[in-house]
Amino acid sequence: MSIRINADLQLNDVPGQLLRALTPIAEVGGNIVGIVHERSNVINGKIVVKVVFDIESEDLPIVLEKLRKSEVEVMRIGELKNRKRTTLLVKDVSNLEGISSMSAEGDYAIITIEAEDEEELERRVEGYEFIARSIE
Amino acid sequence: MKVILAGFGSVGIKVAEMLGSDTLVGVSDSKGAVYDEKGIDVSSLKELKRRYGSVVAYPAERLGSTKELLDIEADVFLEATPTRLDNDEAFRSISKALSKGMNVVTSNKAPIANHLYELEGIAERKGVELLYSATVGGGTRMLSIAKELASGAKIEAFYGVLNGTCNYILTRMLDEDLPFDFVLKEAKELGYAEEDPSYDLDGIDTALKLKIIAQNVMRRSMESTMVEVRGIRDISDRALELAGKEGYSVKLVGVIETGLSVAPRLVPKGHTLDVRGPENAFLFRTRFAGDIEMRGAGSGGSETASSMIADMRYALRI
Repeated sequence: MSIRINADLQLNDVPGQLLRALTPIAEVGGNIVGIVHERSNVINGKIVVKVVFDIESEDLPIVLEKLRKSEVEVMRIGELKNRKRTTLLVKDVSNLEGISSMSAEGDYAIITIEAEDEEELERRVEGYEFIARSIE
Repeated sequence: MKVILAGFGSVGIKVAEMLGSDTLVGVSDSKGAVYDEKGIDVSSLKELKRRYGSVVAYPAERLGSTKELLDIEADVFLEATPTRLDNDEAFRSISKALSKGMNVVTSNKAPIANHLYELEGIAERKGVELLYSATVGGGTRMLSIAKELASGAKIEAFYGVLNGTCNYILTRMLDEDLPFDFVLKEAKELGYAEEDPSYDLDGIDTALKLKIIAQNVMRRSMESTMVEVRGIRDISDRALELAGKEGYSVKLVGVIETGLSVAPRLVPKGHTLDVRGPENAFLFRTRFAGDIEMRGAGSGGSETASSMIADMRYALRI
């Protein structure tokens, strides 16, 4: 399964380092979606580069190992999920399945429900007796 | 030019005033009809209606009903009676007028929402116009604009705040922290809500407007325009308050996607549909031109009457 990764990489601020950081991604057939250089943020001769890329999930450990060997430090890494979400105004919040945030007051609550896809989201929404649903 | 008018309430009176006395030869209301081929004096008709509760007090030939009034010859039949679902009198009047070769302009939603294609068929056979811009969005003439959008940009979905009464009530409940029952009584006293406000509060008025848009603009079949409807009676001021704190307004929204639905929806503050008081808002999601938004006075006698007059002028090409 293809996943979208958002990573902050720390590189030496010398020519050729960016290529060294991106090559492992390219080698496993990953797709670089975007790169941002934080040139103003140089600490001890190192800069931070933010990279977003798509990759097969099973290839991620290979990329991380290659980056480690290339002396590129992975400062932060995470999956960017394009999850479906909707917000409901409800009276009963006994069902907590799929709730990503909730704000309650008195008898009422505003809840946000998330799911991987539209179908799953609709299935979860059906589990609630809601007063109003958000316009997406 | 000779014009016949059915309905002498808030819309009908404004239409008559805009028309002037020379062209209006017949008027009917729920108690009967009057006819004068030389023209009806609108200001005295208005005064007699106010004083005696019906147009039949006017000194002219008296007829039993709209049906009889339609036996006379006229160029245009203006139908401005209130929308009702418990009888099909308006449908029968419109059908008769078209069959007789009169152009028809109406503000009545029921006959258009439930019999549009049948009435269009009669109008086409007789070579006359059937126009109903006043049924949706009052004075905004949104149907005409939407039809033009549909032909080029291709409308894929529609979202609308279409009922001024509900929007007035929801806005006031939130702004002043007032309970539903109190605001409803207030709305009745101010004339924003009917004595029986069921059509508005239960979402029926919005559903009829949605059916008209789905058929007129998107050319959906009658069978595919069943509407899932939920009104605003269950919404408490506490629920609105919480929604407000979280950055939402609650609006009664009509939606046309694959199906048609009317329900209270959470609308982010500042969104196109976050309109206040009796205002209407329309959002068209198009394939080729992105989102197109409109807002405007969706109800009111003179706004709705202005749409009827524009339709009439179009029908007669004047």
